[in-house]
Amino acid sequence: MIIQQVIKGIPGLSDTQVQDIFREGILCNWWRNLPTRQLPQDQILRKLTDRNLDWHQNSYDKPDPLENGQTFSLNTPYISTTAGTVTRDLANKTNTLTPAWRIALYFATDRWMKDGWLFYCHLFVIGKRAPGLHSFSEELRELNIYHGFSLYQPEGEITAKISIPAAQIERADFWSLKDSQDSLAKQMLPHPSRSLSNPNFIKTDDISNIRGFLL
Amino acid sequence: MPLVTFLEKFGLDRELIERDRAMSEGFARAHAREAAKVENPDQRFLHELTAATEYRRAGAHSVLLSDRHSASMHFQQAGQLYCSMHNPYGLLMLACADYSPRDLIEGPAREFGFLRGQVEDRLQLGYLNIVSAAAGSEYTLDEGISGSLASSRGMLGLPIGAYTDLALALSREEPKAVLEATAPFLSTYNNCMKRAREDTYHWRAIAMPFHPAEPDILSVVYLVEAAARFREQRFFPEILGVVPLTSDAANLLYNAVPERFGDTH
Repeated sequence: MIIQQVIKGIPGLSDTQVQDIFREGILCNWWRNLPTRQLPQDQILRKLTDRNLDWHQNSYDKPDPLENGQTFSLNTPYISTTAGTVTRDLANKTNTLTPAWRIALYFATDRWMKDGWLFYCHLFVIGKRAPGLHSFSEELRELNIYHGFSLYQPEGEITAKISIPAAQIERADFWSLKDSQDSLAKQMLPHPSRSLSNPNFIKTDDISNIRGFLL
Repeated sequence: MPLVTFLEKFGLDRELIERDRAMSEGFARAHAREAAKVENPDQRFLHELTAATEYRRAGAHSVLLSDRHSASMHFQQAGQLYCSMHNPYGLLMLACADYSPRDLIEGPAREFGFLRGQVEDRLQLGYLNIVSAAAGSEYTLDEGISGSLASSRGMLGLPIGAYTDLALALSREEPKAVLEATAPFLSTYNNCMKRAREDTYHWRAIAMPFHPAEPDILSVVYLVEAAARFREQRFFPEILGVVPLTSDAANLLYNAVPERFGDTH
């Protein structure tokens, strides 16, 4: 198992809503949109399927016949995050890096329309497909695991399932769209305006197999 | 009708494209500035390449917006950056600006040493060959490239053989052969566009490396059209009747090409 750092961009949150996420975690749309907000545990296996993962990646806003024609995104059990990606640039005979923050920022600002937050999270991946195991995330960006061609592989997607627990969210960076635009106008790369640390985050050092020496 | 008026029909959002173009242009300038500051050659290369890629995206957005002046400026910047990295791919970007094939050979191809073989990778000579043939030079298959015709190049992964076939056809000045050699470019473009459009979420956001106004394809079509016009012929729009295209791909090309050449509809 590998602990994979990822970024999730979310637009238009207040500080209070960010603090809520630090307590509750980031929930999938299926869970968030349930009228009772109570997760039906017995339905999780039915939702976590290869078919739904494919729809999440390629048919996000299409009517889903398995959900009475509702838009798939309203009932997705998955949560898109990015870890960035390295793309083979054949024309230039080089591998180019698309940083995670650049991709996440596009979605966090709702495509350059508003301020947004980048949540720095830690997900568990196992280097294999594990569609039915909701504790492990799917590495859609990884061509050695997901062989099928996808136009969107350069988004660097790592797909979490059901929720990203609060303990796995390290911090949230606030990006002001105006500040970012001002930086770019001065030909400087933009930076976050401020950062909030999650007091409920459990440091990965605490759970990885590093045995410290006795002092 | 300018291309920009078709955006809604294409399922694209004009305001989003304008916003994303502004950001891409900003990122391009910021990375170009970083490239000038850093001393590590690998880091400089990455900043230059990112700047070129962002200018390329801004240029393609400008094509969709029928903003010819900006498209020319963005592709000019992208082309100069790629060329300065010893990559003849920059010639294709400059073809998307206002350079004729002869301008490209007399200007950047000579200036950056491509005509003397100063390229980072011999397979990139495929780009030079197509420009050179469009400019009227005779082309024979280069020994250095003949063993690599199946190698893929560019955003759409077209084989080098497609570029050399087109260079040979242009060099022979046979209109039928040129049409046949251009067909694989348009078919690949058509297929990519069709597949990309099926995912409306990503398509509307243009959140994909392939662009609806894909410069790798437009540059080739521009070069072929420029070569035909030099001989007082027209390659376009006849090609649209030869290769079966979806209405999206056909509409885009039908409008983008005349706008590049300043024709009025």
